[in-house]
Amino acid sequence: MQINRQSYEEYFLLYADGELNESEKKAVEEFIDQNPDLAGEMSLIQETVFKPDGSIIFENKELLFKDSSSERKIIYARWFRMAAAAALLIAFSVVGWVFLGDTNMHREPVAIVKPPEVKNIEHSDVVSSDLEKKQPVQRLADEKKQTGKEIPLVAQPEKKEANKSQHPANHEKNTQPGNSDINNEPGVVNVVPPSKTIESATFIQDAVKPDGGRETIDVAVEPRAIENNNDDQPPGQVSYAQSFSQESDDDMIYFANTTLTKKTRLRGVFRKATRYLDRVTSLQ
Amino acid sequence: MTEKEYNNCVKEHADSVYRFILKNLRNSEDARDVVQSAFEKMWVSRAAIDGARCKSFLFTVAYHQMIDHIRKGKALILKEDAVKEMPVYNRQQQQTRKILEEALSRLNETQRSLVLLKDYEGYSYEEIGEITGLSASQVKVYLHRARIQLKNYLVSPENILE
Repeated sequence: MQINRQSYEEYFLLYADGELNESEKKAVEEFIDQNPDLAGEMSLIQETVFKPDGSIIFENKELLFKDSSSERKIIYARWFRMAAAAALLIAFSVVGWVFLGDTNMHREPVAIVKPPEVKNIEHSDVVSSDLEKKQPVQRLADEKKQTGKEIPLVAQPEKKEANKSQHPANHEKNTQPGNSDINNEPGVVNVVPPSKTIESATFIQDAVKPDGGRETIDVAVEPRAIENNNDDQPPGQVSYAQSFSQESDDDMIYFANTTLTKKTRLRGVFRKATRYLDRVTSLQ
Repeated sequence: MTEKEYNNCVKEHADSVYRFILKNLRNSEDARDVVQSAFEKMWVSRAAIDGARCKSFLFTVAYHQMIDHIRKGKALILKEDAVKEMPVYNRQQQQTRKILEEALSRLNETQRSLVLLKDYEGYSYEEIGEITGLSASQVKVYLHRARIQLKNYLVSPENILE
């Protein structure tokens, strides 16, 4: 190392940068002592060295810290929230499907049934069933006498979704002609929700053929024999209520002043329970 | 680098990195963004970083992000709050400090970075070269030119010290 008045500036800069070892620093200091006019130069170069400002700090250092365990929790929480949201959505969908199915009302008047005339019918003509004792109407009684065979008074529902009422005394069973459980006997017709008024309480004037066509036929309605508890009528005389036999719980169309509801499983269960109770408690 | 080493690096070097970037950008918000980004990159690459060299890695990433930030044309706004006033006990020192800050702002970003890395952090020419992508001799030449420029500004007629 050779410092002189031509190369002193470089050494002064190296001195200011701290790039000189101890011996080199001492040599520079001796040179300055020997050349005091260059001391000012050395002082200025040293003025250009910046000192760090300790008051300048990065605030909120915790934003920079990392915690792997907290990251895992966040992911877990996210998945947990997603799973909970999906479960709630499915639950609400199921509840809505059930209730909407139950409350889906199909209001369609099927027929207007006039109260039948109360007639005195012989007890020997009463036909019993699993549900209630029935008596044929006068017309069927006549036919029976003429033909000598029973004429079923059943009608097939045109659709499984046919509206029904829960009241057991206001429905009629229907079967397809030629396709009934009682083997193709005449008089069996399809009863559809008619668009016209039924003039007689005992007749339904519309029917559906198996091929889908319609024809107007007469279908008798079986009145149900009930006990007459009225004191003003002679004993032994029975009164008749407008009722329908029911041999199939699920294939009935209910008439007259009833709201028809869409068949559902839940309603079917309730209906069966109601009918059972009705059978048990109904008067014979 | 483990998670513990990373967090230690945050505690030891976050302030110095922030100070270095702030002196260059002279904008506290931009400086914070650069520092956070640099630490995030270090966290992502922690598996390949030796814990003992986290400081040089940090300064390297921060320096290059700072250069990118400057070259994208973002204005360097000199804010009063970006340069805190040190408590000085005589007028001359306060005057000298102010002039130096002005002189530093007149340097280009490379010279300014070299001066700050050398003076603030005490890096050698070789270490500065690793951070800035320059050779040691280049660092020496650029740094000496920067100091001469600063000295000449100090003795300029408008800044003659009393």
